[in-house]
Amino acid sequence: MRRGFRVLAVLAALALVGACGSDGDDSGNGGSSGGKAITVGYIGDLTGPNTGSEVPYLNGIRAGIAWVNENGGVNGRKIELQVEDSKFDVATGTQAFQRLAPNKDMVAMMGLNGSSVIAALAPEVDKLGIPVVGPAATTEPGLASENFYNLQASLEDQGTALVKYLMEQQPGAKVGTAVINVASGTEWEDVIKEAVPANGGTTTGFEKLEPGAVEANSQAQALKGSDVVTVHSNVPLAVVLVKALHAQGSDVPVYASYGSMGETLWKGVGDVDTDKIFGVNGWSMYYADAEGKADLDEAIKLTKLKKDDLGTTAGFTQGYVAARILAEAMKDAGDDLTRESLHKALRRSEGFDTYGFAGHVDWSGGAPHKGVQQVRIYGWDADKGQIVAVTDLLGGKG
Amino acid sequence: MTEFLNAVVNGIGLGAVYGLVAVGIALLFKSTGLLNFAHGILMTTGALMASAMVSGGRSFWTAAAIAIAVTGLIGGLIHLSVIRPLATRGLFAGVMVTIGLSEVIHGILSIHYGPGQRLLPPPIKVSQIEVFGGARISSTLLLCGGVVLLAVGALALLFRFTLLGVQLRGAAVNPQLATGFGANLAVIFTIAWVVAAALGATAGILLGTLSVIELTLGDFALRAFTALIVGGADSIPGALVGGLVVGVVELLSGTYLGSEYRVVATMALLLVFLVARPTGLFGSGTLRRV
Repeated sequence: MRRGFRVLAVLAALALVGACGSDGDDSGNGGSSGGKAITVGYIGDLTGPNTGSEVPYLNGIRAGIAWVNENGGVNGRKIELQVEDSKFDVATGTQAFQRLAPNKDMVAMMGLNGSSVIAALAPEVDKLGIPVVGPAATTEPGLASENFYNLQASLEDQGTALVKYLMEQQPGAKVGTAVINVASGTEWEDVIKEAVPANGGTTTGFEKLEPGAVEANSQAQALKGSDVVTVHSNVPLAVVLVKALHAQGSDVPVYASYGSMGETLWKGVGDVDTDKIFGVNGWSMYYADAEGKADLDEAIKLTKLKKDDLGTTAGFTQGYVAARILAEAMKDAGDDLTRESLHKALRRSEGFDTYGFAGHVDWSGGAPHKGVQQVRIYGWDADKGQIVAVTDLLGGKG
Repeated sequence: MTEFLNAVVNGIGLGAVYGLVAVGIALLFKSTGLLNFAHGILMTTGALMASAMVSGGRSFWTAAAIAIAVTGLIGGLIHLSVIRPLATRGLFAGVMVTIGLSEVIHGILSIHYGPGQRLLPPPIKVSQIEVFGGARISSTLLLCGGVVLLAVGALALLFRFTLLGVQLRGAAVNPQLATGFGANLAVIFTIAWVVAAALGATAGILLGTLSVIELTLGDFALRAFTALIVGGADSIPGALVGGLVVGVVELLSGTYLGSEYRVVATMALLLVFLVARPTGLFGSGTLRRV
């Protein structure tokens, strides 16, 4: 009787968690197989702290694979995606890799997101010569390995293009910067320190934002004298910074790097003038008016993904194109599809089209295999509630 | 001077939220002796529920009230179903269970609400308010401070002027004696869990109005442990004062040393207290090393 009550209580508690305000839905497509399927591994955060950006990225990959399988596959073969959860944790990611790696039929991997996970696994990837196409972010460990084929614009390219653009808008501007207190934050600081004076501006200060911070009063105070502020962080920290600047009476334009460029950045800042918030990114949103939009819409239908599954950043588009590029290289590799032949195909001289969602990708020059080297500046269309490009493709550092 | 006052005022606002989280943890620790590592995920639960209900068209205050009540109920059910049966198996088992519970609830929330970011717009306009001496604070942080004062004030009244409060205090000091005087420990501890979880949900909702709600929102609770140590882990007023101290130290160090020293300064404060005064400012001094 007592045990029965406990079981009931547990069930009641679980039901209560789920009872209020349900609006979630989960759908996906792991890729179908017909004949001898081509195996592709994926390692990413499915249940850890970075799911907000990584799950839509995975959904994009699934959509891209579904589109390829539906449209003739790779030389008649279907692609099958084997997904493992890293929980954004090096130890868990390593175990996931050890489960996937022994499969000799696995010709490529996707994902392997997170600079720490990449740094830990790159030596193993290099030992086995596995092509890894499109980690969500382009990081230094990913650039250091000849087996990683990056897709996102590097921070150097993003920062350089951004500073050139904003100096055209506000010549001689005093630029303040806030960064998340992790390694990539320092990388962004270094880019801004070099690019701003080179383009005729001055830097007014560099502030750190601690992951998980809910206010940024002292940082906003320190950045108050700036004409413009750049921020490299996740979306929540960028929202906190913009709110803090607003609360301090500072109404300067804020430019966010790709890490903080999500719809929530504009939607979450309350009364702040959203016309003064911009993002820089190598990739467009899934609703961008790109030449490949019809195919992408078809892929979304095939995978029965709902709006929530597509996320609020450009990660979904990037994942979708990553899968399409991988499939194209597999086709080029021909019937003798191996890791070696796939490497050769990925390094083809003409590079790869991104269907209008980003600039051209070219890995023909060998390692480091950089991502797209052009970016766009994005703003907010309040009527549509969408992120829209405000510039054409701008060149980065190159 | 204005810069200093700004840091102090905003530090108090932030510290009040730290304090509210710490009060929830201290309440359970004081009454049941258990350090609840699931407090953070209960904060996230309350915030996500409120956000989903506001998205569904409910007003902020209605959504907040329902989310706080439901999260409190979940806390009570957790005690009845999982914690109470383990009461005789020692503190270690209890702590491990709260860590496990945290993972289970995280998984449920992830499946139910999805991995994305959610918003909980504050019920007031975000603006800058001058308080005194030229010091300014954002309206949302000021609202947080006000709500924390109300919540902690209500808790103080409950403890001081109700039979339940007397029994809770009695059970914390001497459970056997309290039982002898007619207190039902099972009921009292369940109520303590309900109140602590409801406080957690309140803190989560306040944090949600300041930032963006993600599944990691509850990680904030880990930072509130510093407030708990500074104030004294078994002192409820101490937890609030500890939160205020941590908030002010964080903002002062950020203003005068640089933003990269905010966490460094609070961690240094934690170390100083652990070494020089492990019972905190208001702790009873009866803590034992386990």
